[in-house]
Amino acid sequence: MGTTPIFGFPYPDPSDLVANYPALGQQLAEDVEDEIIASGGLSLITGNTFSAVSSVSVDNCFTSTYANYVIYFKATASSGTPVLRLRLRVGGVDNSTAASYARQEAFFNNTTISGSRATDDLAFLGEIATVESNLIVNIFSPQLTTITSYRSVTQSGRLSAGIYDVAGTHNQTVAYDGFTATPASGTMTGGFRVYGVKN
Amino acid sequence: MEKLVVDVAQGSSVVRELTPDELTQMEADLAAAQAAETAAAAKAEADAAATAAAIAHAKSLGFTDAMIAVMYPNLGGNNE
Repeated sequence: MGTTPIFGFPYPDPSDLVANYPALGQQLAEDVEDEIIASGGLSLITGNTFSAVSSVSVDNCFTSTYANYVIYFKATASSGTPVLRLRLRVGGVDNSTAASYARQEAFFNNTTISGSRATDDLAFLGEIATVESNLIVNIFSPQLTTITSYRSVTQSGRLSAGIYDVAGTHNQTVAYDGFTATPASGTMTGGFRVYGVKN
Repeated sequence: MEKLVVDVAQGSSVVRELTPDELTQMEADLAAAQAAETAAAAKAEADAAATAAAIAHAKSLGFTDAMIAVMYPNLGGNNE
C-alpha cells in the first residue's frame, strides 16, 4: 500500500486487492474531506444566477459554522444606475427596522471623490448599471446576536474605472440566517456566490 | 415582478412572483429612493451655485483662477 507524497493519504498499490482493505475507501474519503475543510480561508456555501429579477433572497446561508462571510455579486441593471441594496433576514423575513442600517459612502470618479453618511431601513452595497458591475461584500457576524457590520466595494459598470466604497452597521442584535439584495429600481441579471470565512 | 429565493438548508432555488407584502415594501423603497435622488439633485444644484458664487466673489477681490485653484482645490472652478 502506498501513501500520497504531501498529505500521506493511503491508497492500494496496483498489486493490492481492494477487498483486503475494506475500510480504506471510507478512510481515504474522510481524510480528504477533513483536509479540504481544514485548508483554505474561504468555503463556498451557495451560489446561483438570476435573470431579470426584482430581488434575490438567500435563506439559511449564515450559520454557526462561520462568523464572517464574503458575498460576491455580479449584476447588470435593466436600466439606469440603481444602487444595489441589502436587508438581513431570518426565518424568511427581511428586517426593515427604520434607521437601523447606518452607512459611510465614498465614490471615486477620476479625480473627484465624494462622500456621505446616512441611516436607512436597508444597507447600500454599491451602484450597478446597464454594463456589468462587480461587488465584493464582507459581512461580519450576521449570525451572532450582536451588531452586524459590512464593507462593500463595487467596480461600477457606469464608469470605465469607478469605485463605490461603503461600510456600514446594522444595530439590531438579531441572529440572521440570510439576506435579500434588491436594486433600487428595475430588475437585474447576474449571479452571486456566498463564502464562509474560516474562523 | 419576480424574485429568486434560494434556501441553502433545503437545497432549493425558486423564481416566484412577489407577495403583496413584498410588492408594498418594494414600492415604499422605490418612493424613498426617488425622494433621496431628488434631494441629492437639489443639493448638487445648490452646491454648484454656491461654488460659482464663491469663485465670483474671489475674482471680485482680484484673485486669478490659478490662485483660486491653489487655495481652494475642491472648488474646481477654473474658468480661465
